[in-house]
Amino acid sequence: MPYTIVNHALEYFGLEQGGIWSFIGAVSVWALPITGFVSLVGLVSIWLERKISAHIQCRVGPMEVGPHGLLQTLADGIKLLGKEDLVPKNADRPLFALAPMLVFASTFVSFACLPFSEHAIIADLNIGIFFIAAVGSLEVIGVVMAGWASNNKWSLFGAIRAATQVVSYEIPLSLTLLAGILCAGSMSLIDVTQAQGGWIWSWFIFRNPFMWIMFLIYFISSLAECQRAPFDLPEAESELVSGFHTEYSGMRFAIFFLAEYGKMYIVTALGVVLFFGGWYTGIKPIDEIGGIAGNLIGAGVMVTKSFLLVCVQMWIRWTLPRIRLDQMMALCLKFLLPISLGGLMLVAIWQGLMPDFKLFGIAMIAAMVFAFMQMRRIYRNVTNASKTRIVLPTMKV
Amino acid sequence: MSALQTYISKITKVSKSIIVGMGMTWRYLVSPKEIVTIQYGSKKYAPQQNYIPARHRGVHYLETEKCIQCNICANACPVDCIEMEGTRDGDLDGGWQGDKVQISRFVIDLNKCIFCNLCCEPCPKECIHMGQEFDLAAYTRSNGVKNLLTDRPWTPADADAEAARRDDMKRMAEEKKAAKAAAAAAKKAAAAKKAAAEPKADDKGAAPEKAAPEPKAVDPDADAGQTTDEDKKDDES
Amino acid sequence: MTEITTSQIDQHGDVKTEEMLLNMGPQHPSTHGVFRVVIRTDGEIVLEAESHIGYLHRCFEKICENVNYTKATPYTDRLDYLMAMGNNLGYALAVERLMDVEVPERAEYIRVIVTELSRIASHLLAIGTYGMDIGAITPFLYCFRDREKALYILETVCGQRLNYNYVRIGGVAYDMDDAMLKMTREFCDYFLPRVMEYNDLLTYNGIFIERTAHVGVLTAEQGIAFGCTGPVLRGSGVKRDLRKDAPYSVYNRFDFDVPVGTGEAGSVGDCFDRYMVRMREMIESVKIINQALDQIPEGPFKTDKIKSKPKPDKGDAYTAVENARGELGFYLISDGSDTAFRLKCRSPAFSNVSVLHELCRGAMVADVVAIIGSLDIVMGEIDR
Repeated sequence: MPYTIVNHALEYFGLEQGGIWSFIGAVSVWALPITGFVSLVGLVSIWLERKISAHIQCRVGPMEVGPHGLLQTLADGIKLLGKEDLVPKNADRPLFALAPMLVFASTFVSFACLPFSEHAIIADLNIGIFFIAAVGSLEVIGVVMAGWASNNKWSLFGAIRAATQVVSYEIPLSLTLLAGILCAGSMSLIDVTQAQGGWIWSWFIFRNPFMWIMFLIYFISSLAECQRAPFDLPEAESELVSGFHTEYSGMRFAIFFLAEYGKMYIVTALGVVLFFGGWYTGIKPIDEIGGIAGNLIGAGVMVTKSFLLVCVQMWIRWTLPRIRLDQMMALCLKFLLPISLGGLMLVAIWQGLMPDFKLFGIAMIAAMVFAFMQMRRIYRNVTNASKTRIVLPTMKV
Repeated sequence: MSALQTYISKITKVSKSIIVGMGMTWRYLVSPKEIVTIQYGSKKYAPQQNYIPARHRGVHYLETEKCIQCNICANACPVDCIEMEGTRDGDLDGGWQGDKVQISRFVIDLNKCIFCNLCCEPCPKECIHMGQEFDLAAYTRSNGVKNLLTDRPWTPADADAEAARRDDMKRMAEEKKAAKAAAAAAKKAAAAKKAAAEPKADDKGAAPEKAAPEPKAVDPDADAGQTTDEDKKDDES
Repeated sequence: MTEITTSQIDQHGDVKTEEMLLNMGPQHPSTHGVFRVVIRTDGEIVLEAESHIGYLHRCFEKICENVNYTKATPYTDRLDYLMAMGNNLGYALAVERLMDVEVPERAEYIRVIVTELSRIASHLLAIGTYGMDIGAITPFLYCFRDREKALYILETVCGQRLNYNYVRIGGVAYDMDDAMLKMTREFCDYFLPRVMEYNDLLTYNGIFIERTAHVGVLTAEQGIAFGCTGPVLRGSGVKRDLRKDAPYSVYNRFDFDVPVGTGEAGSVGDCFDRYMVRMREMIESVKIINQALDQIPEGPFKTDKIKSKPKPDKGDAYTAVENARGELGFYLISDGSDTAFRLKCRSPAFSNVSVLHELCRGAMVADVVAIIGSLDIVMGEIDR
């Protein structure tokens, strides 16, 4: 357990519990690895984003620094580190300096409750999901601070948009989180995951048909929550120049950037924990391996699943246009909110009537495998249907 | 009911279009048909040959031996970026020494040039061309001025050499002028002497001997020699 | 945090808000050049948008009155730099009308081919950047991939990629040989299926339709009153195309349609219609190119009646061509010398951008970007 290590050490050195040494011990044991992990997530995600965007757009992406440009992000980070720290003349200096740190802090703190495997978790809070949701929405304070302190109208626009967006999408997001909590009967991320142990059909996503809807809503809301396209209104490049971080440069900008990618990992990891069985592979014998090996496998599975979802986020980003502010609100209030409310109700009813009905999950997996095998044909049908609709009147091909 | 139908149809319509678009990007993601970008300056990752069409209008080059110093290209230029200087008589050090022309300066200011090809078309000898080079990055503006005689940027050394050449030319022109004036004076003197000596038909050889040393003292060069020869011829005739 | 005092609350009990002046440009990612719009906003709603131009003014008309007719051709390239062939063609037609010379048939066909190729390249850029204004980045790169192929043909033909200086007074600068014609036909065959890709990715994307339908509606009356031409006017449902209405060059020999906006996604004359007109015009251009490639005769590519320094007689001439952005007109007055006495250029984007304040009123900030993109302005032409 996390703080037992620290406690043992404190006892060994004969130091007082809960004092300054306890704090330093906790920081050195837990904060430093997490900082490293967040940076690593940032590096890998940025590299992935570059490569995915490049391959979608018939390009090759970074190729020069390291094999396939793996170290390009590191080089960029060093460049940003060496840049002059510019603060606009009329900016509110303390707030301007505080904003990126606050944004990063909210991302950073969320990692405390994220499990990597059964025992690799810093703090297994019994209200872990609630904690992540609460701390995650602190980010918007930093964003608003950045927008206000920059003393730039574009930044202010971006900040207000961010506040609007994050606050409204909190509601459907929380409702979908509630669906997961409902299935597990606990708010602790460890308990939620352990409720999904066993074969693949005991994952929450296969628990009942409405969980798919809930997951889609969770995914859409989480896109909005971490301000990714098509919900990148706060930093809309073509409209607001760069939104709330227009005036930021150098390392402060890099911290914003890192926080964004860290946030992406957090929301996807939370989604994996709630819907896709956390660190479980879905194959019972493998999941039952305990000890260090089991934990390592679990951590690998968890990170892989999360990064797959991150890749889907990127895939969406490089496909879709950005939606407008009023449409964003309409989507939230007219579509996501009622559907998630209804979904939550249906999930609750299903959970109350048949909590251990595994047959549905098996049927669903069978249907999915079938659909996957028929993917090409289905996709062709969809595109053909769309093509008959979109043939241009004067076109003879 | 119809409101619900439009509600649901809107959801299905938008999600269908999104799926279609994402399917398209997925196909590119897993199997990009072609890579269209080329790493600038390296052919390592370029799948297609990095070549430039034959008619590409890049940086100019000059077939100097053909040039006749007619200035037509400079006149045709809409932005006046071509400058040339040279002579068709007299000889210079440096620059280009042709059979008939000597070009001391032929520069093109690529900072001004708009690569319109209007200088190459009217050239009577077809000696100025637009090449394949397109990389025009330079550290200073003066590096953007190309010396077509050396195919290199117009350097300060070029400028010095040109200044020296100009001095030479000036000096030479002055000398020529002086020589001509001297020759004219000598001629006059000779003519006057001749006129004076006409009654005396016997003193024929004395006049050139007296007239010749004067220009020689001014011009020991070939030019001066020529003039004296001419004088002699004049006198003989 | 200051408390809200009573003076900040109006009589209806609402919090008093202030309008904000937002300076969009001249350095802004989606004003398409050095274009400045001053927006007065109430929150996200635009109350008034005032456009300021002139940052790229370089005395085009005055320069052309100081250099001879041949030397002025490269300057016309710099007007609408995305469709320089059309500018060259318009200017060459004006001088030819002034001098009353006939252009060889082959030259006319080559002019049509390169102009239509140039139109495709220009529309591709317009569509791509429009997608980028809306927020989709990938269509931009697909459009540029195909634009690159069109530009490569133009580079092979005339040696430059943007400022061609190819269509000259009395013909064209060089001939197009068979390999180049074959390349053009290959491009046409390649291009049509690509339009489907743009449709899949952008045109019929639900979000894109939501963003562009019912946005920036320009009625036909408004469009005519403001002197709009080109896709902007045709998007409003007015069938006005100089290639059909007042055929120049050999356009009367080709069979093609003039696409107009029908309001298929929203209302007639919205951003989507303008976008769609461009999309369809590219297909019409492909049709024209294919016909021109079929019909192109052998012969000289330049008339020998024009000297290097043309000297027209006294007189004046006006010609207008249908450029990618609309009607580009050149009015020339000659005083008998080798330099024009006066050149007046009527640029389409200048008239098109004048409707901006009408369209932006009541729109949202994000819509302003969409509207500017759909007008497809080129600052080189507006400021001249």
